[in-house]
Amino acid sequence: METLTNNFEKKKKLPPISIILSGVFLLIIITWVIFPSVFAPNALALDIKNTKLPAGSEGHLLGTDALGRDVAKMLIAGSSSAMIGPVCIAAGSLIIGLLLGSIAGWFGGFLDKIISAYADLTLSMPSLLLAIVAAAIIGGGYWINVLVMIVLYSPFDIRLVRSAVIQQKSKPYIESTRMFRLNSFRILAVHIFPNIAMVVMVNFFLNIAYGLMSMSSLSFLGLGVGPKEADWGRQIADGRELLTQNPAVALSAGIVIILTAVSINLIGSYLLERSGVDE
Amino acid sequence: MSNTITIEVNNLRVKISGNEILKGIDFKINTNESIGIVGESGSGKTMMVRSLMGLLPNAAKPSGNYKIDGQRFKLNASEKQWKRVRGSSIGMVIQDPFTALDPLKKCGAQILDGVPKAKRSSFDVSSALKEVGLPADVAGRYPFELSGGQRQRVVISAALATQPRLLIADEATTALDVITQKEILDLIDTIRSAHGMPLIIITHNIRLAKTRCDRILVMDNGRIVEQGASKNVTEAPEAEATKTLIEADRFLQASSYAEANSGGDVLLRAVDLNKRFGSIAALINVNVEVCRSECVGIVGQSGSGKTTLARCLTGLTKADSGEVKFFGKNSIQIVFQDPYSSLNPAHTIQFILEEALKASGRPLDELEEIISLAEVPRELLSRRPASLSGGQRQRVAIARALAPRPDLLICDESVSALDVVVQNQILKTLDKLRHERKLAILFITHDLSVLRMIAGRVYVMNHGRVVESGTAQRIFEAATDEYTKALIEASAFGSKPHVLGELSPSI
Amino acid sequence: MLTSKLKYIFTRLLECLVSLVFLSFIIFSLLYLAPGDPAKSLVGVKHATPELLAKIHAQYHLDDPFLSQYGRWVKNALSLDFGNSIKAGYPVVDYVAPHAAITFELVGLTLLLSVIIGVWLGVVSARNKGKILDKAIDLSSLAGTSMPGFALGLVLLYVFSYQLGIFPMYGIGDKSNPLDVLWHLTLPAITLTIGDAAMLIKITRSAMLKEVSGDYTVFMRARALPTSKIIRAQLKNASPPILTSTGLFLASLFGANVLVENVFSIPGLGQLLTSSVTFGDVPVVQFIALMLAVLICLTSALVDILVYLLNPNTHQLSQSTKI
Repeated sequence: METLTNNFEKKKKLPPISIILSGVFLLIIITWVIFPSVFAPNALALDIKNTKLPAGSEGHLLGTDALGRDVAKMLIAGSSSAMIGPVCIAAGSLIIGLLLGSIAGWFGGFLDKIISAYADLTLSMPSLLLAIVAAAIIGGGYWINVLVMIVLYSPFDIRLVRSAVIQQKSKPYIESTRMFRLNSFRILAVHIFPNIAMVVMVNFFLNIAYGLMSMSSLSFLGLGVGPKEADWGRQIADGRELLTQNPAVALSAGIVIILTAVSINLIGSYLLERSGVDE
Repeated sequence: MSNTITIEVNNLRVKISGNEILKGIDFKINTNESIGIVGESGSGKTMMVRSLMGLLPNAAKPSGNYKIDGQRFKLNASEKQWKRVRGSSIGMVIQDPFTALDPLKKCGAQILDGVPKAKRSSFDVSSALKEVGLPADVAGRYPFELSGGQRQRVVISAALATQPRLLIADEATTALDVITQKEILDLIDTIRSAHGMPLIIITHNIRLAKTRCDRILVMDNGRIVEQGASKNVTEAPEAEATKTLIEADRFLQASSYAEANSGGDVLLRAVDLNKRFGSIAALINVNVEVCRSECVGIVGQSGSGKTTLARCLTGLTKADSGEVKFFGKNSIQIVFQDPYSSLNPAHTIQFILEEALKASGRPLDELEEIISLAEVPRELLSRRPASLSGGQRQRVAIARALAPRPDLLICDESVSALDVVVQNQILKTLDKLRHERKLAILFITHDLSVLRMIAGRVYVMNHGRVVESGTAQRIFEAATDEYTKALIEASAFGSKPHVLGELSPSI
Repeated sequence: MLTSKLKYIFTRLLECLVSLVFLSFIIFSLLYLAPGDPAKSLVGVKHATPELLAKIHAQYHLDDPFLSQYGRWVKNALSLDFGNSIKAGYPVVDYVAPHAAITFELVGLTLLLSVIIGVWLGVVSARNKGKILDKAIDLSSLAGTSMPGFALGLVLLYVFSYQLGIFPMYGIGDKSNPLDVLWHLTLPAITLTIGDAAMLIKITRSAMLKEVSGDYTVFMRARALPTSKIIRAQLKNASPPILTSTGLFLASLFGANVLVENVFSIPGLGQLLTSSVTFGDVPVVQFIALMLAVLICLTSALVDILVYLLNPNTHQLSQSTKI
């Protein structure tokens, strides 16, 4: 068959401007996470005299909140709880996904049936609702939420890895390893994982964005970090009451969450597209 | 209906993101002739006819002078303007009958869809179906309920329903098996003479164009490199591209048969193999024998059970009953059909070959030996499969299969995905291996012409059974089984129509 | 043919029932998963005198074996008796119903808007693949999927209600006036729609791309069939993933809804659920969870059945497998 749509655009190009901007933005967030005290020393310091200052007040670019804390500093200090949990969620979910997904995909049979049934059932449930209920029952708290999220996110990773492994399994180059009697572990590790690594890593990356959204949602509902701590979701909940006095409290956190999630997603889908072309 | 269409295009060029795909084509039709446009894949032949109907991909930018019946027509016209040309002036039958029809709509309705509004009330679907040799009840069926050949008939009927004055068949039979191919081409011939319209056949098969067309245009790299009466072009080719196409066609060249040394030591004997997949019997009492350094061919259409046989012989699939006895010292190895997926894209060629040597307990310095046997260029070792051509990949797959020094190499459609020129080179390498390494080869294919080049003995399979076996010469020249005869006749494209309907598998 | 259809529908509904039994078991166990004496959860910690606790134990048969308690709970649930709300003190069903009505209205409105917008933009995007329009739609749908509802809701609330004054700020307005309620639900519905439609655009686009470049599309165009007919055929062929994901989104919509209700102070199921969870009003939580589980399981079963019925191939193959 004559292919009408050849890959003529396969030249190496600079990534589009949206990807570069996203990258720069994420780098800023990452430096905030790593060096919070450099950019926002004493972020949690209260100042009862200067509460609810509007944005643009002297010394407070984004004003202050109900406890007189500087909003800009809170935003920087909140980056670590916004990012670290989601990274752990993505990593935990990735490990469970790789383990159970490759078992289900490679060995098939009864194990596959059980693992898939579990994944399908969990996936069809509204994860946020389950998280809210679970958080309330077990008592909530940041790290408990992380664990609950790992449990709720992993079914997707399991399915992803499982279907990628199944897709690889039927490829002639995997069949040919059977002609050389290689063992399952070596086939999975040397022949299958390198080929699914890109998809899995991109998914890891995208999970960070979803993790950020879920974790900040729980914080927003008061089920995450403690009331005195810096956290973007928490900040929106607190700032919602101050919308008339200092809208920057809630808006800045809302915008930062949106920009971070959008940036991660943009870069993730860009990488996915690239990996698809290179295959 | 003899209102002959005239079509004229001058200096037709098509660009896709800066690359010129068509580089100035001049082309004219003004009689009711049949024209074959021949070229290898990528030569631009499909692009060329699609630009005449405005069916180019979004990114393509066409330019040139285009006239239909003497009237100028813009090549970059809008979808709405093209509707005046498509269907009513030019009809097209496209390559793959399995995907050309809407899977969710009954065939009758799909045929009726293209009928001009004014004529819809008087249009008779059952006589339209009759014209293409289908029973009237096909109208009420969905495409998935029909065989490939039947679907292609529906496609032809749907193309005719728009009442075109020129019919284009774009590789219309490539996806079909040889027997059905011939039936469809006969049908297109009949229709052309009944409707008295010109026909363009696009094909990579110059023999097909020779037997079916008055005039042949040879395309290469976006240009028409040669044109003329079919006889002249095929018998006295001038352009390099034409010569290559003809050379590639083994049936145009008289060749001798490979020797059949069935008298030697038996290397592999399969006795009464049976295998079922659910309700489908893939193998029924199959007996096969391969001797040392012999090349045995197994031929059959898709679904005949030949691939299942290969997998049972290697142990990749377990037969339900029967036994496979292997008398060799070393192993059996297999080379798969698709060169694009038989090598792991994550690893370099060197890694792939060294792993095969390690896994078979051979020293790594044998790498030199296997790559020279399989004629893999040294500089490929550091590269990954993605940057190799199909032929190069298949050579690497052969080198890998040679690593454990097998006594028997099974080639499962190993050259089918390659173009004919490369096919011939690989076949030569395999033949050389057979002589130099005393390697027995079991070659499985649907393409008789491939077997004619290398197999000494042939087994013909149909519906899971071996229907005939013998030396290649005996099979090709004095087949006794009806199915074998049909297969041979069809793949040689005899011009005489022949009733084969009851022999074609009804899937 | 008819029997194979019925058989599929029956098995799919049976599957739905099995998952519901499983889920109901988990939901029932909620009472026991909470730390401490379940009786305390039932009366609320504040006025838990030993006498009261003993009475509750007897009233709720808390000393019976676990399974027989579960059986009694299911039996009562089937007659819509979920006990009394601890907080309100009257039957759970009466307590939850008005909240549920608001949420169903909001979710229904969102689903309607997002199916219309999502499918429409997905089709437009796929048909203009590679052009500026496609890239713009693709980018905005990507942005849409990455905006958590509460953050987006807050920004929209600030801009459209507080600054521009187009939409009302909080609440649902005058409950006796359906139009006023609808007006109050519009901005929350838009907030939810942005995320939901964005996902539908993605799914529709990728499903349609397969069809747009498909051979039958080229063949239909080659026969000069009307564009509307071509789009209809493509959409029908692309419908399975679109329908399936719309069903799945309904589930996630209830999750996103909790946040949006909190942002806009809408007294719906979401607010009730969060407040009941923090208050420890276990019967209410159980009822809401079970109601949503039934809704989600049924929707996904119905979607599967619909997809099955749309494809002639699936149910006719079974009778013609003689090939």
